Amino acid sequence: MSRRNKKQKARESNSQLLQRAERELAKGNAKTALKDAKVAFRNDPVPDARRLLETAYAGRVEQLHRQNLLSEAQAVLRDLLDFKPVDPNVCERLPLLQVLVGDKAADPAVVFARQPELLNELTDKAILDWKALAPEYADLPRQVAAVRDALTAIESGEDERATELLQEIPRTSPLGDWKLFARGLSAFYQQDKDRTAANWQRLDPARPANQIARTLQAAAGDMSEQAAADVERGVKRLNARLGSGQGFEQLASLSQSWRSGDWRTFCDELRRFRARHGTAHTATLQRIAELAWRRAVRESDYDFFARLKGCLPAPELDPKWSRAWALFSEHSRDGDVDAVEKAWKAYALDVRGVSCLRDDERPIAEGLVYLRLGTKFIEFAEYNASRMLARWAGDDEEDQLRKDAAGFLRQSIEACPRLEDAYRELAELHEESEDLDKAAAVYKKLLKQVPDDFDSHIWLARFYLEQEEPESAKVYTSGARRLKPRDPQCVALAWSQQLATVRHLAKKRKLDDARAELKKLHEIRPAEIDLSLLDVVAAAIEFKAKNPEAANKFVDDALARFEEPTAVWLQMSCAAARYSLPKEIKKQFDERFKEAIQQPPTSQTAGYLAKFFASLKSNQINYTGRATQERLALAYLARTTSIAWTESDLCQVCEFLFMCPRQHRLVEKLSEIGLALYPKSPRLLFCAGTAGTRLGPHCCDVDHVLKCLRSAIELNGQASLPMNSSQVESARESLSDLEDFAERKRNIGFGFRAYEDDADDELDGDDDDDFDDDDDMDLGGIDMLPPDIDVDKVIDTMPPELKKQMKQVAAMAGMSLKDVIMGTLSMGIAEELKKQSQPRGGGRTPQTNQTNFGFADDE
Amino acid sequence: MNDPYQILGVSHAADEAAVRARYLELVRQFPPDREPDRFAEIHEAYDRVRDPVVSLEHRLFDVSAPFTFESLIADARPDVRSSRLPTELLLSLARP
Repeated sequence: MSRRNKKQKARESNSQLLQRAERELAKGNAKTALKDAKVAFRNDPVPDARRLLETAYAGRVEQLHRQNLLSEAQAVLRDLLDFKPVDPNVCERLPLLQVLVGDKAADPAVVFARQPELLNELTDKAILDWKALAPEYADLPRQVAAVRDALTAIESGEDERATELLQEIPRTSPLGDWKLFARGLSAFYQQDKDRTAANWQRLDPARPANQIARTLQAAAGDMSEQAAADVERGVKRLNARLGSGQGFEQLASLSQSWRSGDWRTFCDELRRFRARHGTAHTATLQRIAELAWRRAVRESDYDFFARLKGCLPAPELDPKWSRAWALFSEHSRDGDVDAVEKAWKAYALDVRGVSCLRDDERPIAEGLVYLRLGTKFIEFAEYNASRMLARWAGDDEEDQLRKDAAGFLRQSIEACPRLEDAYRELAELHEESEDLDKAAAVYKKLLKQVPDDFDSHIWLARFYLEQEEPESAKVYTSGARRLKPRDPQCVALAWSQQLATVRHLAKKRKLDDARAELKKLHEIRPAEIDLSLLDVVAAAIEFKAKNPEAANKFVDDALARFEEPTAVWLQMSCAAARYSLPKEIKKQFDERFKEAIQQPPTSQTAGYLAKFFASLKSNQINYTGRATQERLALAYLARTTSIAWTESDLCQVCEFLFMCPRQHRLVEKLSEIGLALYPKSPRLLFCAGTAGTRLGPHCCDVDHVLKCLRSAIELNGQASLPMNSSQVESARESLSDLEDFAERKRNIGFGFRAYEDDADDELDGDDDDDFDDDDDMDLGGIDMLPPDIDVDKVIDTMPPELKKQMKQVAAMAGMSLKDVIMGTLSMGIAEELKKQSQPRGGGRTPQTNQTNFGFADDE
Repeated sequence: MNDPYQILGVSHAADEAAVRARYLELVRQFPPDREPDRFAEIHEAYDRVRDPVVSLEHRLFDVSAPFTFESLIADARPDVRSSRLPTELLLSLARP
C-alpha cells in the first residue's frame, strides 16, 4: 500500500470503515468488505464490528463458492468457524455454507429439507460448470456424472449410450430435468420434432435446461419470433459461434421491409448485405432475385424493378434482365408492342447462351420465347380489333400484327419443331385469315411431329370434307377413329365422310361402288340420323343410274316415314342438286316442295325443316336453290303460331330461328307459346331468356329473363330434353351479366352512366372509385358511351358498306340504327377495358343445341 | 387442362425428386384400382410436369412467387441440427 493510502486509511475513522464494509457487502463485493471489517474489528472489537465481520466471512464463502474456488472457500469457512460466530443470522447460514464447500461434517439433508430449491440450483450448477462439485447428497454426484457423460456421448453421436447412461437417473431426481433435456437433445439432432417436443415440453421453465432447449428451438426456426424474444441473445450468440450463420441476422431483418413493401429500405439493406456477405450467400442472393423480380413484375412496380437491378445479381435464367423487362412490358397497362417485341427478341438471343440450361433445353427455351411473342402479338391484334369499331380505324395495323405473329410462330417452330402449341396458334391464325390451305399445311406438319394429335386429324378430316375430297378426309377420319373410336366427333365425322364418299362415287358414276358404300353407311348410322336420309341417298343413286322405278321405290319408303311429304321433297330437291341429277328431276322435286310447303303447317315438318336448315347453316353447305327453299321454310315457320307443337320440334324451330336474321319477334312468340305448353322445358326457357337478352337489358323484362335463365339451369339436370353444354354455359354467363346489371340498377337507379360517374368524380375531385373498370365491364358495355360522342355524326361519317351492315344488324335485332351504333360503341369501350384484364378470349356467339343432323358436314 | 403442378400439389420450383416423391405419395393415396379417374388425372399431370416443355415454360414465364420470403430466410438459417454442437457451447446457452 502506498504511503498516501496508508495515511488516508489512518485518517478514516472506525465507523467510516464499518459503513464502507457494509456498502461493499451490499454490492456483493465480499472480499473488500471482509478486509475492511477485519481492520475495523481489530481497531475496535465492538459487537457491531464483530457482527459485520461474521457476515462478511459468510458472504466471502458464498462468493468463493460461486467462483468455484472451493479450497479458498473452505479456508475462509474454517476462519469463520475458528472465530466462533455468535450472530444468529450467520449461525443459521452455517450448515448451508458447510454443504456448499463440501464440508463432510455438515448434514445436507437438513439443509435441503429447509431449502429444497437449493438442491436444484446446486445440481444445475454442477452440470453447467464442470469444475463445480456436485452436492454430496444421496446419489447426486454419480447422477451428475451420468448426465455429463450422456451429453458428451450425444455430442459424439453415441445416442444409444447416452440413453443407457440416463436410465439410472430416477424421474424424481433433481437431475430428472437434465435427463429430459438430454433425451430431447438426442431427438433434436435426429430431426425428430415430435420426440423433441415430447421431452422438452416437460422441462421446468425456471431451470437452465429449458433455457438451452428454447434457444436451440429458436435457432432452428421452430419457434415464432415473438415466442423466441426472451432467448434472442442466446440465438445470436449461437449464430455468431457457427460460421454458417454469418449475415443471417441482416437477412432476417430484410423480411420486415419485404413484408411492408418499403423498397428503398429493402434495397439499401440488400446492398449492404451483398457487400458484406455476398460471397457466403451467393445462392441466397440468387433466390432473393428470383423472388423480387417476379414481385416487381406482378405489381407492375417499375421503380422497384429499377432499384433491384442495381443491388441484385441477374437471375441465372435471365442474365441481362431481358425476360424481366419483357414480362414487365407485357404487364404494363400500355402494352407497348415495340417494347415487348424488342425485349423478347433480346431474350431469345440470351437463352442461347444461358449456362443453367442444358444443351437440349436451349432450343426449347428459344422456341417458347418466340411462341410467347407470337401469342402476345395475336392478343395485340385482337385488342386492336376490339377497338376498331369504336374509332372506325382501319385494319392495317391489325393485319400487320397478325403477320408479325405468324412470323414469330414460324420462328418458334424453327427453333423447336416439337412445340405443338406453336403449330396450333399458327394454324388458327391462318384459319382466322380464312387461309385454310395454309392452316391445313400447318396441321399436317404438326401431325408429322405428333402423329397422334387427335385435334389435327379431326380438323384435316373436316377440311377435306368441305373441299369435297372424301378420300383425303378418310385418311384423317381413320386416324382420329384409331385414337378415340367412341368420341362423338369421330362418329359424326365417320358418318359424314362415308356419306361424302357415296356422293362422290355416285357423281363419278361409279354406281356399284356407291351402292356398296351405302350399305356401310347403314352400319355406322348414328341414332339421331333419320332413316329417311338413307332412302333419299339410295333414291339419288338410282336416279343417277337411270333406274327411276327403283329410285321411286326408295322415295316411297322415305315418304312412309313422315306424316306428310314436305320434308322428303326438300331432301330430294337438295340431293338432286348435290348429286348432279338431271335438271328435270331436280325441277320435279323443287316444284313438289314448293307446293307442299304451302299446305297447313305441322309440328313434325316444322321441326324437320328447322333441323335441316340449321344443319346446312352450321356446316356452311350451299347448293342451287337453297336460299329460296330457306325463305319458303321461314315463311312456313311463321305460320306455326297456332299448331299443336311437340316440345322437341318447337325447340328445334326456336334454336334455328336464332340463327336467322329478322326473326326475333317470331322466336319471342314461339318461346312464349312453348313455355305455356312446356313450362319446365329448359331448352324453351333458355330460348325465352335468350330472346330477352337479345333486346338488351334496358329493353327487356329483366326479371322475366332472369327467371327463365335460372329455371333453365335448375331444371336442366332432370329434363328429358336438356340443354347442351354450350347452352348451359351461355345461360350462366347471361345470368351473371344480368344479375350484375339488376343489382346495379337497384343500387344506383335506372339509366346511370358510368362515364357520368367518372366525370362527376373528376369535377368534385373525389377519388372514391365506387365503380371501377371491372365493374363497368360486367355491364357488358351497356350505357358506357362517353358523353362527348355524337352518334348522329358518327352515322353520317360511317363508310357506306359498314352503314349497310349495321342497318341489317339493327333490322335483325328489331332496333333502330342509332341504338345499334350506341350499343356497338359501348361494347367496343367495354372490350377495351376487358382486354386489359383478360389475356385472351373469344367473344360469345349465339349457342344452339345443334345436333349433327343427317347432312352435317355433307348435305 | 388445369395446372399440373396444382393437381400434384407441388410448387413450380419443386425439383424432380420432390415431384416424384409427391407423385408416389398420391399414387399410394389414389391407387388405379380404387380411384381410376383420380389416378389418371394424377398420372397425366405427372407426365406433363416431367415434360421438359411444360417445365421450361414455368421456369421461363411464371411470375408467381416460387417460394415465400419466409421460406428463403428459413433455408438460409444456420442449421443447428445438422452437426452436433460442442457440449460446452450448448451449456453456455443457459446464460441469460
